[in-house]
Amino acid sequence: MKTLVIYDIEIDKVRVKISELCKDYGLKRIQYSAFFGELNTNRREELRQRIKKALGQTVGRIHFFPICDKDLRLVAQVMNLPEVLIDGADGEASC
Amino acid sequence: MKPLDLILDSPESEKQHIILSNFGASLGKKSGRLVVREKGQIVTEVPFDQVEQVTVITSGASLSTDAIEECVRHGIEINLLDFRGTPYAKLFAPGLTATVKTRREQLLAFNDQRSLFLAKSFVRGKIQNQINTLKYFAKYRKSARQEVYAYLQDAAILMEKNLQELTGVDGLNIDAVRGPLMSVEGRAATRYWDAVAFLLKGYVEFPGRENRGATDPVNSLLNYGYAVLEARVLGAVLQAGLDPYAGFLHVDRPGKASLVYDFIEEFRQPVVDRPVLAMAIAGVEIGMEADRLGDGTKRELLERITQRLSASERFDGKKYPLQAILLRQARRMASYLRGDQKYKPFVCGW
Repeated sequence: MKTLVIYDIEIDKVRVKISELCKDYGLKRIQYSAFFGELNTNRREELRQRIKKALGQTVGRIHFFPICDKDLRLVAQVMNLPEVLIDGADGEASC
Repeated sequence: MKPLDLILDSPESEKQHIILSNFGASLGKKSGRLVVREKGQIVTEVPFDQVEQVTVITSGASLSTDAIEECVRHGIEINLLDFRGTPYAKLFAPGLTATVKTRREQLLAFNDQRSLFLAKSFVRGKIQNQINTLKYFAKYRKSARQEVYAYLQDAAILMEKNLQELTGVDGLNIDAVRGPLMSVEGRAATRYWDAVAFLLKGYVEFPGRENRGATDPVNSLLNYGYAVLEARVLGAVLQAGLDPYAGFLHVDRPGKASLVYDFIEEFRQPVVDRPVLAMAIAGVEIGMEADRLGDGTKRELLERITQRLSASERFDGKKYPLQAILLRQARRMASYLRGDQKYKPFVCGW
């Protein structure tokens, strides 16, 4: 099932760690602090556990929203974007 | 950042085959992802569990030990190929699959009927696949190029006779009949390549089949393709717990993985000949540099072969990707040697 992961985390180092974890699970960045991609129930839970561990005692919130195919068809966007890569969002070297 | 549409529409991700083809490329690990860098810039990043295989086809590449370790843990094979496409090294976990019983039976089989049965199966599979490849290319020329259609069909009919000859080849073990068996195989092959030359007329210069040292485009593609396939076949044979150096049809030669040369016979036509002939007929530019395939062409061929390996074919009444069939056949050979199962050569449809 497609999953949306969004987070608010203040400390840079922890935030980078969590964005890296999202990428490890094959998710793609769609906003500065939002990732999206395919995760089955097991992998979603696994990612949640690992993110929980990475967050530790730091202040922050992470949400996981599974989205079913039926609702996926209703997803909409409004966009005016220059063609930029936001991959460097969490202070990593952009590529 | 990718627009959401792209991500929403992305199909279920298939596992990727990573190819390092540019001089100086490096393979590394970042967090839980395999990273390919060129000139210090990241060019590809894939989570380890979405990687199928890694193939290095260039010189001057580097691999980090962390990346190697993670690949091995995930069961990702790393194949290193030289400029001819021949695998000169392969990285996988030691002691992954060796089962003593399989190997013991494999060596014992050499002296009994099993060696003959397997060797005959490989040859039968090869000839049948050659026939089906001719039929496959004939099919599309039935109306457009009548003379080619007729020529290929005739060759196929003659090769069917070679197949029938196989039934008469019989003896105590493979050593007793290697000559006659190789002779049938050789005569069928001559007919096949003669038909291929007729098929390619007008598309590309093809001087007939040449193995080593060929300098023409089609033979170079075939040789490179077979070498790439060899790496995959070696992987399948090892995974099935067989000894790659103890073949049946091909004689033992120190340092030659003769079982690989036996077993590869069932797969040459479906995996390599089809994409190569299709490339030649479609007029894809085959770049040569000093009598050798150019780097771009090697990559193009490798990608086509990889595609071919993920394409599904009928096997055992179901559809499987060719690479899965390769593994299943290897396991089946092992299980035949252990006396658990029958063995039938893989024959690709047309």
